[in-house]
Amino acid sequence: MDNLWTSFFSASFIFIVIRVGVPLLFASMSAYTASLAGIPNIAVEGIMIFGALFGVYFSALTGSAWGGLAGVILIGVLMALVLAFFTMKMKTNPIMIGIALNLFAADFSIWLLLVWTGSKGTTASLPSKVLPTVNIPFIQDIPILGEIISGHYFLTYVCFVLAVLIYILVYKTPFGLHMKACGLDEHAAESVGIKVNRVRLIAIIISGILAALGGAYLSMGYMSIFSNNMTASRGWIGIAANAVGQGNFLIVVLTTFVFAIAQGVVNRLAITNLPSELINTIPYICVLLGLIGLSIKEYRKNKAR
Amino acid sequence: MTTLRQSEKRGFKLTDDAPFEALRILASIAIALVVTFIVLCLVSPTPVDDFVSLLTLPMSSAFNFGFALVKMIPLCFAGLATLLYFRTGLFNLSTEGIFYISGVACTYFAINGNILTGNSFLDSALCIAVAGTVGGLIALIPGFLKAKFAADEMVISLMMNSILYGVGFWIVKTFLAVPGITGTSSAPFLDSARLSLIIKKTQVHSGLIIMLIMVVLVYLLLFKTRLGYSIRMTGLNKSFAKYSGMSAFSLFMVVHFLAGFLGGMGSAVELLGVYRSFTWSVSPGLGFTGALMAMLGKNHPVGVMVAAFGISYLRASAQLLANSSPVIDIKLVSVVEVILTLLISSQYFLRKWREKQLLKEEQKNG
Repeated sequence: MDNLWTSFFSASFIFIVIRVGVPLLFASMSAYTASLAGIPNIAVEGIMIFGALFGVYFSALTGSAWGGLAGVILIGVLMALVLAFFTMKMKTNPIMIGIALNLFAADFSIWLLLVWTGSKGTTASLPSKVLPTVNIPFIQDIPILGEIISGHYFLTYVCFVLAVLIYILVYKTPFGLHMKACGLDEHAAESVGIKVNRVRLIAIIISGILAALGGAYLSMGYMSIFSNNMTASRGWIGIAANAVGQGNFLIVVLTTFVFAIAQGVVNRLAITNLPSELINTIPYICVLLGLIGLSIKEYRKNKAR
Repeated sequence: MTTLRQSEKRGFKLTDDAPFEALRILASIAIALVVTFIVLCLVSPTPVDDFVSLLTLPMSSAFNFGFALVKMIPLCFAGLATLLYFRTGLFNLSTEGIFYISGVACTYFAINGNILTGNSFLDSALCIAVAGTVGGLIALIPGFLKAKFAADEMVISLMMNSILYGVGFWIVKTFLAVPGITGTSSAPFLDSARLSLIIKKTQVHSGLIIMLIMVVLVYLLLFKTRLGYSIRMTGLNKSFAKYSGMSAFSLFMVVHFLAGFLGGMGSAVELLGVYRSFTWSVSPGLGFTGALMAMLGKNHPVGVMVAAFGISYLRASAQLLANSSPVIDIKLVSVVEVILTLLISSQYFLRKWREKQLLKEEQKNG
């Protein structure tokens, strides 16, 4: 047990937290960009599933991991367009669309798995490719720091670069201001000449691509195959992190990493004799407590007013 | 007088509210089936045969039709539970987790000869009541958080689903599992707890009757009681509950308990009617499908029942065909489900067409 305890304070544990945190960060960034522009994207989980599956499929089809990545981005854009079409043109409740798309992705991905491989379990029989692992020259030789930040998957670095870009987009460009305006009050935004639908469309497409990349990370890095139910509610954890952050990107990122630490602890505890079914619920309990804490805080604030 | 004569002359028009709604639904079904056919064309060497058998197989024998009826029961229960949430304006998806944990609670009683009496009516009723109560009490957790602190019920309910499944599976593995059987399975349910078959040569069990009773009860609750009125009005306008004399807090609590109870009941009815022992090693997905049923049925209990029948008709057909066809599987029905849900819940679907028709008519009448 002593051993286990000290292992939480090692460089390799931070490495694991980053490893399990990246798909969560993709998911929460996806939820963040869409909800900031005023269209909550509840379909993050479903888009992740499709991203994971089509990444594997296209990489097997084209024989190249980069071909797979292109397919992932394509499917992310497609799903985003469906979401955008029904919310903006058909005036459907975005939550309803999200629920429907998630169920569809969960079921249809299993059917595609059956058609492509003949089994409903995994894509192990497809000759899929994984994206490379990146060792950063020089930095990898620095003790501890090299151990923590070098040697991750390609998409890990993409994720962190995108996080910085989203921060700049939202806080330093006029477009970010427009997004926030559309989210706060679409009529006010329209009255000052912002093209609400165009801003929202772009935000949703960014959101779709981010979610799909989160899925691709799972099946083309974290694991080298797609398996049934592999996203395991990560999309929902992202949506929860976004809810806790309430429009503040830095808090969203921070919350995501708190959840990632919980997930990292779970991965470490998996080797002990503790019952795995109960251990696996730890991240969800953390999310639940985070949401409850947030609503109690809001409740007190409203009451004091 | 003149207005009366005009309305007589108008007669039946597709652009009226009710026929237009029917037209919308029929058009959605047609589009969904056409897309399914296209999907089949892409993967199957014999798409026409496959498509025809998908649509007609449950009609071919009493057993097959009964199979569709049996599959509809849990979907209808989950749909009824979810429609109570949706009607109140709550996006709560906890029925999935409640199906699992209530099933575990039901199993604890259904395999326990010391508790059961041996009378098959009493025993089944006890197991179903226990599962319902457990479901109702658990639904009160997100209910309380929503009612008191206005917490986001959807994300909370989804996190609860994962937690309930983890805890439920742990209970099954540690306390209820029988050693020596591959996979995780409880001891067999006692015969007195299981629901009896009601139609010969089929698997249709008495849960169908319980389901029909519940559809009627939910209908009466929604449309004939004050509570139902509060539920519907709060769904339309959040501040209604405040002015209706019933506090929003107690309304949310009651709705959550009732919905949880229905979910728990559905789980027990499904287990005791179809299964011989508890074998769910993954969450069965019935609770989520309930959300679809509520959307397809337009949040009306009878609509939910019709939607549950339609979807389980196709699901049963697909499941029966899965043995003989490499490409047809129950999961294929998700294509129909998603298209129907998206189109039926779209306010603007076919609206342009309707406006054009109305405009034409105006111009004709001068």
